[in-house]
Amino acid sequence: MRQIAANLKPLLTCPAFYFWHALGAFFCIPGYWIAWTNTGEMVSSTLTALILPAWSAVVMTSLHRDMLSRPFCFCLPGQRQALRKTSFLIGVVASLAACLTVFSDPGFVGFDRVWAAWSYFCFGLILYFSVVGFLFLGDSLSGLMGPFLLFGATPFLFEDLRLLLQTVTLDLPAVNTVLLVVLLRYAWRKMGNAGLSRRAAGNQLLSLQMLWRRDAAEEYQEIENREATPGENWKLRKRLLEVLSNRIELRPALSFSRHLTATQFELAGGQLPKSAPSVRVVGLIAIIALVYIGYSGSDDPSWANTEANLVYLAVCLLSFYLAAPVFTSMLLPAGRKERFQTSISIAACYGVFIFSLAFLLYLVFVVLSQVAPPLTIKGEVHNFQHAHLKPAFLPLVSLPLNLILKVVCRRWLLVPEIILFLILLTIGIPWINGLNPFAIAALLLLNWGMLFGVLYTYHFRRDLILE
Amino acid sequence: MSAQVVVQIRGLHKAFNLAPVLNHVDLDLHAGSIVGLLGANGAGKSTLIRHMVGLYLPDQGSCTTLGCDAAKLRPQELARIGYVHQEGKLIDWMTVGQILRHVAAYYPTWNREIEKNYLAEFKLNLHARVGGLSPGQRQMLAILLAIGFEPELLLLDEPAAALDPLARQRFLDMLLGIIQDPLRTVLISSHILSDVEKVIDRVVILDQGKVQRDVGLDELQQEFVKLRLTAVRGQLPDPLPFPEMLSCQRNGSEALVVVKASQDQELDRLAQEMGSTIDALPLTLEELYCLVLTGGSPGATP
Repeated sequence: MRQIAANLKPLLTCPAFYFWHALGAFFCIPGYWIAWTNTGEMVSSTLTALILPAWSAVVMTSLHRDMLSRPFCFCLPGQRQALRKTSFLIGVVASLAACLTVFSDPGFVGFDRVWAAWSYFCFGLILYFSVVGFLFLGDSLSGLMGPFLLFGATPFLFEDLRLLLQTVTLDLPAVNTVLLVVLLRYAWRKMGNAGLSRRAAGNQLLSLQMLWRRDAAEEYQEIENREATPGENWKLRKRLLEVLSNRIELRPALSFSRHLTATQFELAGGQLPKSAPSVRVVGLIAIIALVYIGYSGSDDPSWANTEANLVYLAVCLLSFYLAAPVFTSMLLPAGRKERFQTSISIAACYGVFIFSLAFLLYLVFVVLSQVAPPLTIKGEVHNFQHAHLKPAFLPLVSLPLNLILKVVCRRWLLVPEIILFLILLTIGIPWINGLNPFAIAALLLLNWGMLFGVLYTYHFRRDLILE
Repeated sequence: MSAQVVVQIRGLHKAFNLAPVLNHVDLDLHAGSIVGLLGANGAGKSTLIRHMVGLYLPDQGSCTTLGCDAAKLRPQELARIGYVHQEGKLIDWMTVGQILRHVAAYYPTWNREIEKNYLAEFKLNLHARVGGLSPGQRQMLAILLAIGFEPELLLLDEPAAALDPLARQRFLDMLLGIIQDPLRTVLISSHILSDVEKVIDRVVILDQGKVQRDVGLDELQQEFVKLRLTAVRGQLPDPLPFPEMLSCQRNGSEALVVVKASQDQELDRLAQEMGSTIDALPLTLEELYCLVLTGGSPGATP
């Protein structure tokens, strides 16, 4: 038991453990709350049985993978067994906790309640090990993020799935029991297998614990870069980089303008997509999203009620990729003053780009609204609603906040993005619709002024190496 | 020294999270000198170098580089400084050719001949992506980027840490070529003292953020002496008759002792007393470093 305790300790003392739980709760609880309150009894128990074991599996497996990837772990006597036991222990505890909700559900009485609890327990463990298996198969960010999206989307998108799950958990206890026995045997054998540890040892796996630390994620990215095949085949990117590269030497030597052009080249190369197919896929997704958003809005012509305005939120999300070039580890002939001027200029370029994109989306929407016919789905007629111009300023308001957070919270990888996303979701979207042009102008001035102040402070009064 | 001071540091103090990393450091680098900056991990070597180029700002004190406050260095001064970062962090998405062209564009004095020579010497492929290079190749590229414009002041922070023995030898040969310019000042921070020893003429030893020694290498070598004692007949006396022995390894009729050099005038008399022969041997930089850090205390083993 001492080894199990030793393996559980890093899980329970890791800040990332609580962070991911808070994040998961933020995304999932509203959905489950809606599902809970809008549907009949017994559904709440089903949902709890669904979420608790699966969630525990995500967090536990992430830690499990993190530990397996440490080469020293491979040589620790009994470590493989301890990790397997820890994983099983967490699975049993999570499934037990999930099945306890049956006892508070008035939908179950008498022996049915015990039977239902057993069935939920079996189902919970089956789900737990299924998620564990899924996460051990994949080794990518999407593999880790997949369960998050699934948990968030389940109650909204799969009404019928909920009923199916309820049927499976309640009406098929014998099947669940048999399935569990088979799965437990298989998982026990697989998770204690030296092959699993051997494959993982020394590999830089992306784990939830790692994402908290920027340096670890950067290290992973470096390894990805080293292993990935180049595949730079987007001609426009090549052309753009060539133009920028040629422009560098046209500027006077050791001047601010040469540094600015060189920085633009450096940032463009790092941020522009590399392969043409990926650009096409993104474009296609964007068009589908625009059409979906356009048709999903209400018919209220008042701009404040148009869901299509949410498209600007997507532009804000896109701006999360942008950061001011404040920190460096390469010494180039540009003093702090030139670096400051460059950062401000780059921020302004970002602003122009983001607003142009938002405006372009507005224009596309307007054109689509002229040509898109009304759609009839299940007897309901949906008219295409276009977004309005005023909320197009939202990305321009949020961009400086993003750039400030990226500088101030530079030690944490996802924290700036999460903070900004919460601000946009809770304040930005509801408020921007109600603001008059003067208020928007004031917000723009305030945010860009703050960005100027932060960049000035960091360039002239702080260390320039990202630690 | 009468040579021009290239870097002048006075009372430099720097703390991270309230823990002092540099503790009121005073240091001068003179034009044309080749200085080895030595110290344990966390002694403050990288922090000190980053102050010299203005990437770090001091909490107290001052750092003047090429006659300018390091925090206010302008492109004109920065274009005279080459700096190799400890971790060799570069721009991963570029190819070797792209990054060379990118960095060369900054410097009016970029030397294509040096670039060509070292590309061949280091066997770097121009089409390879920087992100895909091994740590050693990245380090070599970082070195090339720092020397390609023939800087007046070259600051090398653990330049050979990621290099294999063969690459390290090539790097040392290259460094020997670089230091031929009498006006070029070079500061090398390294753990591999045997490498540094071949090129430096001055040693700065940092310990816990303080400069323990700032002295010429020859001067330091003359402070201590290693003696091999061999008994002519029988055993060496126990204890050996050296009043201040800094280290001693003995094996019956033979012993290796390190003493302060001031005692070597009496060696003939002592040899007669002990009935032994005494040979003076040179101390390596690694041994000298250990002697300085342990305070040259009796019984310490270099």
